[in-house]
Amino acid sequence: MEALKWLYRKIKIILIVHWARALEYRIVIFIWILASTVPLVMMAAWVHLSTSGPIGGYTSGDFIAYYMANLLVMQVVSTWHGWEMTKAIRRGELNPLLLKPFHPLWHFGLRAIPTKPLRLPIYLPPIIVVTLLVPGVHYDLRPIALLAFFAALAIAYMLTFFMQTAIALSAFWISEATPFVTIWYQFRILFSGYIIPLSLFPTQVLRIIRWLPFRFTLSLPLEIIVGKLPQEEWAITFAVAMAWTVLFFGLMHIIWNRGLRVYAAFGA
Amino acid sequence: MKPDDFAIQVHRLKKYYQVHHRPPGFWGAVTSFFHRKYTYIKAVDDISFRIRPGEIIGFLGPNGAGKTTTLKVLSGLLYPTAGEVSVLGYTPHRREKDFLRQITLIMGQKNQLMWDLPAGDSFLVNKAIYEIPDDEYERTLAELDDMLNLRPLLTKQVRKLSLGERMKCELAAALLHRPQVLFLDEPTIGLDVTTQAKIREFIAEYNRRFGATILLTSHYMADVTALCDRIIVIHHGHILYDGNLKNLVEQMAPYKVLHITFQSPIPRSALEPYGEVVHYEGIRATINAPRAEAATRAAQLLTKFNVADVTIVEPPVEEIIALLFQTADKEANSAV
Repeated sequence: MEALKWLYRKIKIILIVHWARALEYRIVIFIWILASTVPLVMMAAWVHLSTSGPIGGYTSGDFIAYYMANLLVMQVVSTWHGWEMTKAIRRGELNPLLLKPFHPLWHFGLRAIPTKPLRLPIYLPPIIVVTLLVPGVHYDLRPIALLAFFAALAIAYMLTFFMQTAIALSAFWISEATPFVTIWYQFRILFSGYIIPLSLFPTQVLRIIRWLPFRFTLSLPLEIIVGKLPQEEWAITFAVAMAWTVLFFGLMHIIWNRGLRVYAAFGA
Repeated sequence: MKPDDFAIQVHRLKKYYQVHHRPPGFWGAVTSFFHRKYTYIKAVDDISFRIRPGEIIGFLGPNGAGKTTTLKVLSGLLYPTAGEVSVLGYTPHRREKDFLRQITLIMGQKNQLMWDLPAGDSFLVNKAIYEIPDDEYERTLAELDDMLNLRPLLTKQVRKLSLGERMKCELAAALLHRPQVLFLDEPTIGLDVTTQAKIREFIAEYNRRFGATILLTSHYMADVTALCDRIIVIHHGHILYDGNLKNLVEQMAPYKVLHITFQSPIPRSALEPYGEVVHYEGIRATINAPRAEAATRAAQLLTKFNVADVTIVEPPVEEIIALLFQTADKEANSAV
């Protein structure tokens, strides 16, 4: 009980200080919001293409619902700590965290969370307005669907974090590991449903990518909330998502422990 | 703390790094892309020492000697290549929470505080991470404030603090959890002389109040002479000397230094019978006299000449340490 009480206090204070840091740089928040509006461009294109009929089971209304939710979900599940982590390992900035009796990965995991409440109020009102005013835009808001949606969001955040961390920890062995994080990010952009719904990929490609971990970092919550994942498939899909999450969690810890053995703690 | 007579034990510690070499310039970068040349650096090469609880040890050596590497191994940042290390009964590289709660490593001019926020925020993070109860935190903060005059600094952003102010906050943040072992890597580097003196006083006071074991590296001999009775001298990863500073001075420099000011100029040749004249300015001279006869020769000078002032001092510690390194290098070269 005591241990849980202290864990709560540690998490709370780290969230508070990163919230305070986020508030220091107000312009940066607005710049990042503007930079993450790519889905709206894709939405415009697909809505135009689908005016004469559904494409891949998506009507114009479905595309609008999908990309508006995409904007929101991406803000919730995204974390960019991979680049920060490679820099911290390369420059010895990991040292102060390693000297403390609190696993450094907590710091990286919690860092991005406080910025989300700052961004979400920007995205949420337009989504509500569009949903209410634009015909054909529907979300599955049944209680069970919302429960599944939030569970998928949690899995998406964790899996994104574990995958990105496992890749970034290659910095223990490779001087410049940032490109690996960038390559991972590019694969994620392509195969997570950020650019297009996964069901629009060619069948042969879809057969593979629907089982890759990238799907569960964004597409799964989107498929649930826009009603494109049949309920009878939820159990198997969540099982696969959990399996990937557990796998990358384990991989992350193995790489972390091995990496510390060779960490040179640069910075005299 | 697990029962043990020694707070720190190091036995045949080795730490080697693999480093790749690249010639400078464009073609150096191109050839390095295809073919990399690696060498092994023996940063620490078979060192052993033991430190009792409450001791303040000066860890001396030139740049690249292995001092910081040793501190990083002792604090758990680095895995040793070989050898055994024990701090308060723990194996540092296992980084157990109970171990990390009892040590701290402070590196001069390195930031542990959050750059964009007031120092007080970093203190609150450390309070939570080290699980310091509220009343203990307030008490420790008050004591640290008493020693370092911290309160006015806690609400200023760290990036807006001067170097001296930031160093005080770094020290305080690192000591909120009242560690029993302090590793201080050049804590006064870059600070003005007044702040250096304050930091030294603080370290001495912390040791007095809490009985902490302190291992300190510094290039400023004033830090070492003010704080440390015992020094460990390391050079090229080997320990050259481990013992009392006074004994080292007597061992390496069998002379004392006489600084004399005369009331009127004296010829240099008149001073040479009294010892080695290392500095001469007519009415001022510096003579190195045999240690056992320094007082006698000073008395003779006072009798023979019109002396305005005479002082007898130990040779500068910097010279002694430099002499130790030179001797070690000569022995190493002759062995090759």
